[in-house]
Amino acid sequence: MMNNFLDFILKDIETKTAILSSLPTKTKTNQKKYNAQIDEMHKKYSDYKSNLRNYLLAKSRSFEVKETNQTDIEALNEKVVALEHVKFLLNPSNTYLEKMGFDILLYQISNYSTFNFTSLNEIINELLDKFALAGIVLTKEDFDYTCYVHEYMQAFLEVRANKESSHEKVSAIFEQIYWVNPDIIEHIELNFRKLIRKNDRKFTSYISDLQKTEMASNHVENYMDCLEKLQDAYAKLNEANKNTISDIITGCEKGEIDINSFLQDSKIRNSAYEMLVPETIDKTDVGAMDKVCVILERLKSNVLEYNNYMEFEPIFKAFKDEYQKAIPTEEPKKQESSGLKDVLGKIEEKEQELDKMNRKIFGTRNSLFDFKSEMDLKQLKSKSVMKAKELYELYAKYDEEYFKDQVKRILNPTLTVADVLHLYYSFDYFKKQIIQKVYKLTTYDDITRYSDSFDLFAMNPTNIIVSGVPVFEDTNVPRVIVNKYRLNGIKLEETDLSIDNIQNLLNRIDLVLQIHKVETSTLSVEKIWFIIQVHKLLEKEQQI
Amino acid sequence: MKSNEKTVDFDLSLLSLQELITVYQKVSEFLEYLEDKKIKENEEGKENDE
Repeated sequence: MMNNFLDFILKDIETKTAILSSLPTKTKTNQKKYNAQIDEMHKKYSDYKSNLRNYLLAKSRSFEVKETNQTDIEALNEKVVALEHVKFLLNPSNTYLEKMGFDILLYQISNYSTFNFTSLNEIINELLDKFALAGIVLTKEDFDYTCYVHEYMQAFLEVRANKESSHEKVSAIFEQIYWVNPDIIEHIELNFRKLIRKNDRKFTSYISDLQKTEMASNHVENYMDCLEKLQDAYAKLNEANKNTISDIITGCEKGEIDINSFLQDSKIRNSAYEMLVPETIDKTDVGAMDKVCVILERLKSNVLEYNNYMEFEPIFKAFKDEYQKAIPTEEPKKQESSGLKDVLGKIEEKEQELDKMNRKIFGTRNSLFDFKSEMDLKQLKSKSVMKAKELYELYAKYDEEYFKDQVKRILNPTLTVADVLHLYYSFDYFKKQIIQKVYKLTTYDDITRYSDSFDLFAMNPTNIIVSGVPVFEDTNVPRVIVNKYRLNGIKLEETDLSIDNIQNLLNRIDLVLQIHKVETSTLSVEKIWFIIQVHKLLEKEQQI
Repeated sequence: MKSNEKTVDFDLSLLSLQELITVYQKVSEFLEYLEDKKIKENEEGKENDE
């Protein structure tokens, strides 16, 4: 009795191949006989295949592991997002301007022409929405910065009030104004800047109420408490997000992970173990390997952090170049700088002058002022545009001083990269400005992508290296990392952390962690190999 | 699994995982071989029997 099906099949195929090659096929009758033999064999082998297919599938499914509990991850993720929002609201470094998101919209409107935004109206609507959130309903009377803003915003507010979907009417007015005054967008921005400043108490109060509500609903007592809770929630999310067996199988099926590198005789596996597992460790000792993997998880986190650091190093360097000379020798001042006060004084003074001009211009509509001629009105409008231009420059100066003021509050010789990360994270407008400048970006999408990536880095509560890297001193970060892990017996070289090699290092760490995961699970490398082979075979057949 | 050719029972659980994949591949390859070998009607051959 032949009980090994593989042996049977190999022998049977050999026999059947020999039979077929010996059959005559010259005549039609012979051909028919030959084809009948083939049909018979085909039927038999199709049955074998079908039975085998069912067996392979059943066997593969019997190895299936419980899927990761997505609900848990979603719940943990929601908690992190909620706490990040509370942190954002409680951030002691910025004001209502940033917490309301006005800085984001002001950046957009001030760069409107540079980036060809599709809709100015969308930005204006979002600005108006933010005022509405704080209970401030703006009317046409509020838009009196220049007669041009007044005319445009009057039409805009009408369309908005009537909830009209088409902005055609507004676009026509915009076009009409634009050819007389191409600075119209700047005037709209100036008007909003003035209105934001004028309503600062209402916004501050709105944010304060929001802080209280969010703190209560998230059981947060204060900013520090929020940071601690966030760190805890983030650690839990990270733990839940770690590669599961099911993730490894999916990775193999998608071709992202090569299961062959898991095999004992794989060169890739052996080279990763040689580098990352200390020689003194018995690789078959699960307890010892557990400890190695805890260290490797930390190394992975450090390497990812260093990778982020490298990506944004040009920003830290630009900051260093800009502010190194300004480092104070005494304690940083907490009060507003005189530069900021001076500019603000000038802005208020010039806005009053502009206001006077506007009263005369607007007055003509009600015949309160008697102009000798249309020429006088035209001259006055022209002067108001010039005044607005001066104000626009003053606001740019104000922005500059505003950020300098924020920097001065924290500037000291031991300022760390973590401090600079938090500074730019707190001031989106200036973060985008420096990103645009340093990386020489020309599209808003690119800037947003860098900015989002920067925020993710800045917000990561597991950052540890950046807290020890001084901005104003040269530090060899790779050396710091390498020396730390050499103490753990890991054979790291500084070059392993170079831009070209860092991904390779991360892959090696992942490989050792994944193999350990598999070897300490109910599955084995062989079973996973089998699941993948079955998946590939069936996938190939479906393609045919 | 039963073979109809002879009354032979095969216990697939006796095969290792690697052997299972191999036997499935061999069966699939042989099926492809058979499909290739089949002679199409009116292809070659004489009209009448000799």
